[in-house]
Amino acid sequence: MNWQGIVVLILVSFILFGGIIQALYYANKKGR
Amino acid sequence: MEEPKWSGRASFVLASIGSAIGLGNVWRFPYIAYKFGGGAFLVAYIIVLILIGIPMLLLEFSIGYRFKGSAPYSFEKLSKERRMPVNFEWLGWFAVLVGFGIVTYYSVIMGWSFDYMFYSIKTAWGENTREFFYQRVLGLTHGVFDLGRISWPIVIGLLFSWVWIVLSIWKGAKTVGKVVYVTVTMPWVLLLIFVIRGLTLPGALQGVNFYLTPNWKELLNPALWHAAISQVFFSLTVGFGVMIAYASFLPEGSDIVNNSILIALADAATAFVSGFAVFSTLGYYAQLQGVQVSEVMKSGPELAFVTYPTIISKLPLASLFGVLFFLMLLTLAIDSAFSLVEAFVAALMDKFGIRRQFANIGVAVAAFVIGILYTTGAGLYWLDIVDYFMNHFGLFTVAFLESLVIGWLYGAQSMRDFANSVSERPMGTWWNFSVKFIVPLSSLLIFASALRDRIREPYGGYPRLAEVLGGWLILGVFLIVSIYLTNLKTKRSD
Repeated sequence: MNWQGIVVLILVSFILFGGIIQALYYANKKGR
Repeated sequence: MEEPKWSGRASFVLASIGSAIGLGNVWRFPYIAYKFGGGAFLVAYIIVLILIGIPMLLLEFSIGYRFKGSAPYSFEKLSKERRMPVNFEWLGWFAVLVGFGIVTYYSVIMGWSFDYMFYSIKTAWGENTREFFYQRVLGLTHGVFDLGRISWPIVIGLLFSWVWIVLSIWKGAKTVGKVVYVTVTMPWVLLLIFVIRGLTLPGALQGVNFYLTPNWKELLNPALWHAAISQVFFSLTVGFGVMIAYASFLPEGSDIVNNSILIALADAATAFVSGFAVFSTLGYYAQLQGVQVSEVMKSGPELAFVTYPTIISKLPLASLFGVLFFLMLLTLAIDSAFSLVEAFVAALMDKFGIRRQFANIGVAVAAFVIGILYTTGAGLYWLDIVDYFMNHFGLFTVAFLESLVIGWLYGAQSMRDFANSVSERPMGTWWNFSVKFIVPLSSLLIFASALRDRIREPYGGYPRLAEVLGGWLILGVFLIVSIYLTNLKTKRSD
């Protein structure tokens, strides 16, 4: 796989899964 | 009659994710990404998701949570509260009717998947999967007016789908909240199995390269942005009153801002991961055939019912993977299907005060009877036409007007204040801008470009008459029925 593809993979995964983890963290912290 | 609420936050989130995730995540998203510059599309998709998808989701959650009712009910309350010159209850009806139009054929695709689970056991499709799907299963005729015969196996599959849908929403949020623990997590597990299986096949990386390698020049292509906006709208199940109804079942003290971010991202992540399952498998197939990945790339029913069965036959444990694949399609589709029905059922209950079970069965029987049309030899043609019109003209009419009504007549600021007052995580001022400008303008753009295309030539090369019957006439009837229902005084509405 070329380096640009790898950059996209890391970037997209970071935004999507990072965002999900953050949202889950928020939800558990506040309990709602 | 007090409606049951979600038993917990997870039920609501899973149900909304289940509604958003559907067949499109697997059979449309990867194809569109590949077509519009691979990695470049993924970046554009995320930008559109944030600028339009999340605001639209929060908009619908706010309406449902604020007015505690189905789409027509909420729009009626909203119009009265602000003394609007028009009672926008009709817009709510139009939204749920378009959703109903969609579920009439969506359940038929579930019927195909159900049948294919059984065909998988003996890989009944043989060598010629194309002939098997189009001739043996569908009995496809040569023209849209040549109905041919009804395919009884599909009717049985359709019946099964409807029994499953009705049972899933039998007691509204109470049952849905339990069902989704299985029907949302199961496709995720199955998808993961297919990602692992796909990536461990020879030639897989070749396929993944096609998916991820960015063609940055495509970002300057307006068609890419058009495709990204459409895909975000199609994917999130906004514009059908579903998210309004689901949010109305939320108990007091729920956070809607954080939930809308979570649901939108989970939907996008599922589509993103699906791309790996699809492209790795296609990479393997292309290598097997000694051709380029682009030559085997397909989308929609062709990908799921022709290309995939061909590849599955070549895998060890073919029957097992076949059953799992079609089970994945079924469980992906079921939550979207019953959410569309639930939105309609909730609207009927609000308006007429009828019992839930009565509305459930009534809607199911009506949709089942209409669905028989799609089980005929011309069914695929009609399915294609109705799908195009519901999604392009129905959905974007609702999205356009919904954002205008809230953004300008109700007041974006006022709705945002409400959303923020109930949420821990505040939504920024940019939301007002999105709801007032970006959402209406982008919906109008998609609507107008689809309209321009249809004026130039009928959709998909079908005769004009078919387009009028399967598209404009249905939308026209939905509009008239919506206005009629709005003006109809019932005991409940007084």
